Amino acid sequence: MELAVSPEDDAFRAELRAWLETNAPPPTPTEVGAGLRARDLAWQRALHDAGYAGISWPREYGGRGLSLTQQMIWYEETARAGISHVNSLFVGLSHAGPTIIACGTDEQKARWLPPILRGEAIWCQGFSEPGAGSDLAALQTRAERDGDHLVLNGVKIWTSYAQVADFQEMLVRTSSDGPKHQGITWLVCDMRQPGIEIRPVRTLVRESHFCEVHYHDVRVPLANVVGDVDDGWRVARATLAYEHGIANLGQQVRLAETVERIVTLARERDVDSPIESDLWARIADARADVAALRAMTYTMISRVARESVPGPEGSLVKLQYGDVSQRVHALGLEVMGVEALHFVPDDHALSYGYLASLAATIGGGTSEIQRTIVAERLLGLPR
Amino acid sequence: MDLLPGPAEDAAVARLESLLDQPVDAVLSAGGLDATSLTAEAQLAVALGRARAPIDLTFALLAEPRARAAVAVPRPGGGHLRFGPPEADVVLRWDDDGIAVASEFVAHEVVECLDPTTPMVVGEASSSGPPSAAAATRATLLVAGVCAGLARGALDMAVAYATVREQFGRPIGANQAIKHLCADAATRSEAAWASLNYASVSLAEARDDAEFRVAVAARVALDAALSNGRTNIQVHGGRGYTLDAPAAGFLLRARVLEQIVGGTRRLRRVLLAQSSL
Repeated sequence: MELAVSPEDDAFRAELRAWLETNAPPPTPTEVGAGLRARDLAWQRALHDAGYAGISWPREYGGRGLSLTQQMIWYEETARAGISHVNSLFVGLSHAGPTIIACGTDEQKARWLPPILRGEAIWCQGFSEPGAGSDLAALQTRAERDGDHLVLNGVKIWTSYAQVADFQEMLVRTSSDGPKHQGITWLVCDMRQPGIEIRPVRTLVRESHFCEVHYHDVRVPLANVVGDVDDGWRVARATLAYEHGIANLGQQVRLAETVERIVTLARERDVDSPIESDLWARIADARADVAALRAMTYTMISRVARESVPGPEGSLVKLQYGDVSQRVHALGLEVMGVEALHFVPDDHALSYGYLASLAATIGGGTSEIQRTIVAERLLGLPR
Repeated sequence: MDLLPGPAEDAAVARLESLLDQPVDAVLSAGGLDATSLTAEAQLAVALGRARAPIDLTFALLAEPRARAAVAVPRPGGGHLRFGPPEADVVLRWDDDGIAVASEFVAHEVVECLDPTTPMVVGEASSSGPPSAAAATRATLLVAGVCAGLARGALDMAVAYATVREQFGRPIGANQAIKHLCADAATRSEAAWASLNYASVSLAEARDDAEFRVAVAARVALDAALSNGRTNIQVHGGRGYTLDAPAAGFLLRARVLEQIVGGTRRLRRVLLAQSSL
């Protein structure tokens, strides 16, 4: 058992930190538009030119091929430099790209992967539907064959950054015969073509990157199907566990910073009357909770390093993150007092963080779904 | 970086577990609590909690060197409360300043403890040498280990019962309400164990933030042991309320250990003294 990382890993951290000090972009507004696309692509190009593109991608596909420990360092250091990984580059780098690496043909890899790394294309995801949330396999967006094309009709929701995306990874229904997990196809849709209608979703944080996307007779070449037609569920699962829990490290670093901001705020406000002593108790517990969260992630990384396959333990980290995030932000609101009611459209503001934390137990699989996964797959309780 | 127990820790735990069905003296004389490192001691503590081993073994693990030990903590009104075996060779006096070996303990009255398996005596521990804060930090880590073990043991017992107990014609564990109780317990157990491992390595490597990490582990593990202890009683239903079934043992043991480490107040004082970044 040891906390120390290898000299090479320490060197990597030092090199990265030095590079970020001169190259990290300044904090930017969170709203979509206002040059977000150009800004994100420019950042990805800078990463690419410096040799930091696709840190977890294998080297043969142009990635950095970093070890798990170095990926951990990457997320910690970039978060420390104020860079959010939940941005318009996320789907291409952390989901669609790895899926194509795992299941795509050589031609598909050559066509789609390099532009992701070079900062030339933005990807979005079309999985969830208004009627298919936790029960994703119930998705109804139809894709009907017409010659060498599939013709799409339906609605997708929770598609982040659809407004600025070039491509969309999608799950669509190509057959309704048999069990619902069969008859699903994974494909790539060009977002810049007729029949696609994008409607931004107003969320609790007002303007957001989430969109609802409607498809009216949208034509997708069969060459854009990754894996086989009707085999999309397997393709989607190929990367479900990808970077599980590690990509979340950046959010954990930010949550720990939020706790420290609350401590500073509490000291400034002179929160020390007996009636408020429970606030200090909760602040102390918040410090323990974010430290425990980090320890859980390190433990998971240690486990993956030994067993090489991430297990259902990722659900434990996700459950803990959602719970702690909501408690920390609620505490922050209380410490701040009436000024917390002033909503500021900046994801560093407590008011914004509080509202955003309400999604932490919903997005990416609700806490209820995670609990059922833990109970059945980790604890072995009967289905 | 590797926060999982390795061969040395696993071997120490395996030896202890093979001896746990024997009397406390036999476990001690067979070297059941022997460990070559602090990280191994922490894993022994987990094993003791998970098996809900006699509290005498926990106190023997706290003593340096190993001995039949009791722990005395101050009462608000003066005097001490002593926990552990009446025939202990050593009494550890544990207060806000640290741990000291008491030169003498004058017993006034034997009382019944909230935890029926923990002997408890009202009396007076006479002072001895200066208290050691370092000894208290080490002991807090080990108590955190026992609590992480209690959290895990309570979870194990709840899951085992939910799998075999049938109502309405099926195991109660098939119900989502029971599943989610158990899943939350598993999350707390993992948080406790991970925090304990982080703290034990920090302290073993004498890192600057070791005391903070130990307080984190103790706070999180205590919460896990108390919450999972309640979950275990709840999952057992009426049986959980009986003394025949040891379901409540995890919770009640955790309540004793909570006071042994000075309550959450002492832990929170450490947590507020240092940044988590």
